[in-house]
Amino acid sequence: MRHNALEWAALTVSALAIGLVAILLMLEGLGATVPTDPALALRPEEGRAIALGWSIPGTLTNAGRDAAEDVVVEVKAMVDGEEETSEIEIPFLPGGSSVDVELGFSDRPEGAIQSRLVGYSVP
Amino acid sequence: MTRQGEGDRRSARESAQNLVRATGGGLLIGLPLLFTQEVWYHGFVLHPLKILFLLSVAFVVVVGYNLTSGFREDSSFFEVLVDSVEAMGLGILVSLVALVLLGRLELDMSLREVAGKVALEAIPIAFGASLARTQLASGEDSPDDDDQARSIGPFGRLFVAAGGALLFSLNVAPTEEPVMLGIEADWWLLLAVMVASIVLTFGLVFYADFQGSRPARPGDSPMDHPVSETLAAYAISLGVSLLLFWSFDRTEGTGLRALLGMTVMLGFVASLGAAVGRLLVGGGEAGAPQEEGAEGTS
Repeated sequence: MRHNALEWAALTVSALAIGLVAILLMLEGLGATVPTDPALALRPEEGRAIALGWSIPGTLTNAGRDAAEDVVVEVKAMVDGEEETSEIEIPFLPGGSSVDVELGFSDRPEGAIQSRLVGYSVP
Repeated sequence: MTRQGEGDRRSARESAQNLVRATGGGLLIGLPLLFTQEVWYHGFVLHPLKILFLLSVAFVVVVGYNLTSGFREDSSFFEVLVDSVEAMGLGILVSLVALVLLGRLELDMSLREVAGKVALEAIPIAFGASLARTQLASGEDSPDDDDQARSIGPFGRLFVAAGGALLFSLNVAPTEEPVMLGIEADWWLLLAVMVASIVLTFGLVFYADFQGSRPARPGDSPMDHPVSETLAAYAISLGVSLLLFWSFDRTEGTGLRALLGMTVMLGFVASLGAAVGRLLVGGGEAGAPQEEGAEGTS
């Protein structure tokens, strides 16, 4: 049976879509493995007062290609002369992706803010 | 895909209707997984080559289903292949658009995450697109009974059973529930589930008088016997369940006892899918003839 122009167009688009997805998956699958590498970039200058104290925005990025599950990051800062700890947990952090976070303190932190990775599970 | 009755070429309107029908069918079947968090998650957790493997299996199933269902004797393999490529391509495009509309795809996501999510969600949508084209067409577009009476034989039915099993179990396999059910079930409960799966699917296909069901009478081939077909379809369902657990990384580090339980539990879902698949393609000429006592004629 002969096909009309719409059918040829649908076939072409379909073949391209399949090819694109297949090539992307192959490139990703055959590429070098880069382990999970979470990093937190805080933006204290964008911090703001909130009803429960002080909130500092940041971005948690996974520079690796492998995903991480239940990523826990701890942040420490001096508030009113005392060290205060804030913690955040991200359920899923895909490789090469980032997520915006907000970390809370009782008041505006003074000085440097230190962050560290507590841990994560490998899915 | 259906064919135009008189002419040698479909009109653009008919082709557009086919595409809209396929899109609708794809969404109907794919919607549960589009709204399942575990599938989004597996889109970036699973190894890309595993996702590609699943996509390839799905394509083979779509081609097989299109070969065995709803096509007239004079449909060429090339036409079947074209329709199958269109169904898979449509699945990918609909998956992409739906995930964007649901806010599951964003510009700052990695290509791996985007491709993985789109590919996984495309599988049930492609199945739905194929089903819509062959089973949900209006009377005008659907093949006549005479046209459709291609005998697919017992192994053809088992191939379609595998497709049905894959489609049904794909909705459940990515979730935690079959794992929990399989691990927690006692051995006697698992045996009972196995018996229930076999008895229920035998009844659905050979006794319940659904459209597409057949009388429980044996044909010429040993595989063309209701009992052997039911058992073979169940075995295939267990195999499909195990394959999906492997695909979704559920087998690594899992003990044999747990794996058995999980497979039997998911096998219940898969066996129902296999039964529905066999009902969809009916009996053809295989097995007992349907003319007398043909409670389940289509």
